[in-house]
Amino acid sequence: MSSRLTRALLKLYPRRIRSRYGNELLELQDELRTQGSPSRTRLIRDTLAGAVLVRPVRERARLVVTAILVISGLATAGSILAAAGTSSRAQTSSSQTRAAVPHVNATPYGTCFVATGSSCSLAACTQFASQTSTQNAVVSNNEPAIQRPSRRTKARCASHALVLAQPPVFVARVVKATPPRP
Amino acid sequence: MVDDLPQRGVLILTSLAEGPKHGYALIKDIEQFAGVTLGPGTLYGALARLEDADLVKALPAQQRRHPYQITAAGTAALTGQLRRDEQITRVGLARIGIQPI
Repeated sequence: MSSRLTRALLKLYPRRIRSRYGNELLELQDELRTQGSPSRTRLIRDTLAGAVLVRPVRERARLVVTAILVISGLATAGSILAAAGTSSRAQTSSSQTRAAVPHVNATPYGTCFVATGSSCSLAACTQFASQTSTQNAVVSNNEPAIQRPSRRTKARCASHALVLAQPPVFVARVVKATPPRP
Repeated sequence: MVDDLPQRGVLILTSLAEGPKHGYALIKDIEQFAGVTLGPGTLYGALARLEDADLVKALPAQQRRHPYQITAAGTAALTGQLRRDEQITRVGLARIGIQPI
């Protein structure tokens, strides 16, 4: 791994240790890597363990507490983002997306948030007005829409809607509309 | 109460008891006699602590790598630790009904 990552991780070691053992440690890692013995993940974990090991016990505790705080902070931020994603998904439940289609047809010059497989874009609602079959336009598990938006895309669309103070309307682009069989 | 050496310290000192070694040789030797694979980070972390405690010392570098050598204090600390471990091993084995080899 020689690499920038290891060199960056070495910064976790006290300066004295780094200057005394740093080069040897990197060379040994390279030597072991050329033999393919330890995996990259293991080397990273080992480098981190070494950084903890060289510190006095009291400092280790502080290091561990700091790490726990940082990880909890990241986890909290992650859950907040996930909750935002969930709430936006809740906004676009099946019944609501079904209800959105008449809105698309009724206001053809409005702005729709179009969530396709991986992107969110703004589009005039007129392009969906030609879709006579609401079944093809609604994003729902039972519909034959071919590019269903991901949860993240819906969340992104929802956040755009918040910025624009406008409720998001999720529809799916349909490549081929299949007429219902008689 | 004598301070116990950490397990990594015992492994490193035991390896160095045979003669001076550099990092790579230490890792391979420990792997062979103990079945424990130390990584470079933990090895140098443990070496740093042992060197701070004057239990090992670095010899002049050979091809940019320092061989490490056990000191007299290191030998004494290792001896004490192994004796304590031996005592515990003997008592433990006897109590579970196994004869020491």
